[in-house]
This record gives sequence, structure tokens and C-alpha cells, in this order.
Amino acid sequence: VSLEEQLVAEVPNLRAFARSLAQNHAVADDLVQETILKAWRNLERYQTGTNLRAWLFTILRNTFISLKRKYKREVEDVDGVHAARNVQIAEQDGAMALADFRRALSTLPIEQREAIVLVGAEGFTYDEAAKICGCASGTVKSRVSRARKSLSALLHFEPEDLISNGTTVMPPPVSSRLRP
Amino acid sequence: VGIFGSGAKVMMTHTSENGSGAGQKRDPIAENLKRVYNETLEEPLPDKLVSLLETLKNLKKAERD
Repeated sequence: VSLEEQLVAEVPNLRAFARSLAQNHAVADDLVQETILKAWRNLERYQTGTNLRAWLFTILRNTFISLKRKYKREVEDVDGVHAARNVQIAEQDGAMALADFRRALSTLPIEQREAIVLVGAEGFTYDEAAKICGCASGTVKSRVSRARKSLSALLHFEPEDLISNGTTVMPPPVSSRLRP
Repeated sequence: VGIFGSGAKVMMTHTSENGSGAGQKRDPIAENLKRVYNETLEEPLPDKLVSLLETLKNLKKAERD
């Protein structure tokens, strides 16, 4: 498999990470597009045998920081406008709970959000995530911990949210506790 | 240890009815985080990205030829 083909295979993950950063689908896709182009032009700089995904994520994150200045309002989505727009499926408790989780995630500071996504969703080690974020491993650990505490508080996760068959029972919708 | 790596604190524990999951730790934050993330992974790529990737593939092919 060529490096170019490996790069193409990473696009869905790049997109998921971009969306978690940007909180705006259009901006996230712009971010991925820019990242692909930069990576493609600089493939000779990639060190074979190293983590390609980590290299791409670093490019994406750096691109995001640049784009953030340009699209500050859209990228930050400080009022949760786009996140709120995503909360459309309320017919089922599960769907509603997941929408609440998405909204709660969107309220985290960007540093915490990227840390918890890189470690918790992408499965990077703290050291790998630290390299991507350009900070110390301990800083990533601390950010993940704070993110988890914030999410637990926002979503009111308690031990009794678990039932006997091992299924997680999501708490009631917390939309009213989150910013509209 | 959950998906947050070694040393990451798992917030909740669960023991199943038949005991097979005795001591098994559950992590609803990690579970929901993965679900939200995987939703995007499973989405089809937008036309603009498909088009870009196709262009790059063709460029590569032209280089080889």
C-alpha cells in the first residue's frame, strides 16, 4: 500500500478529529481538505515507520489554529449554535442522550476537547497526544481529567446510571442545563 | 483500565447478574465519546473531499505514467 493510499485511508479519522475541533461541519471539511493538500505536498517529510495518523493529526491541528483566527466565530461556536442545531433527534432516549453528550462535549474548552478526543476516541497514548498538541504528556493527562470531570458534572453520570445487564442508562436529557 | 490508557481513572464499576462481569469496569463517558466519534467515521465523505481525493489519485497516476 502506497503512502498516498494510506493517507486517503486516514481521511475519515481526520474528518472526525476536525469536527471535534471545529464543531462546524463545513469548517471541519475545509480543515480536512487543507490538511490533505499540505500532507500531499509534504509527503517526503513524513518519516516512514512513524505514526502516519499522528503526523496528519498534527498538520490538521496546526491548520486549525491558523484557520481559527480566520473563522473565529464559526470555529469556536461559543454559543453552541451548531451543536444545538444538531440536536434534532429526540424521539428516542438514546438518541437524545447522545445529542446531549455531543452538546456537553462542545462546551468544553478546545484544549480539553482535543485531549479527550485524541486519547479517548482515537486511542492515542498520552505521549502521542502530547506531541500532536505540542505540550507535555502531563498536561494532556490533566486536560483529559478535567474534561472527564466536566462531562460527568454536565451529564450527571452516577453509578446508578448502570443497570444489571451492563447497559448504561443515560440520565434524563440535560438540554435545559446546557446553553441553548 | 478503560480506553483512556493505563493509569486513566475509570469512574464506574459494574458487576453482571451472572457474575461473569464481576469487577468489570464501565466508562459511560468513554463509551459515548466513541459513539459520537464513530458516527462521523461512518459517514460518507462529502463530495468536495471525494473530488479532491480523486484528483490527487489521478495526479499520482499521471506521474507514474
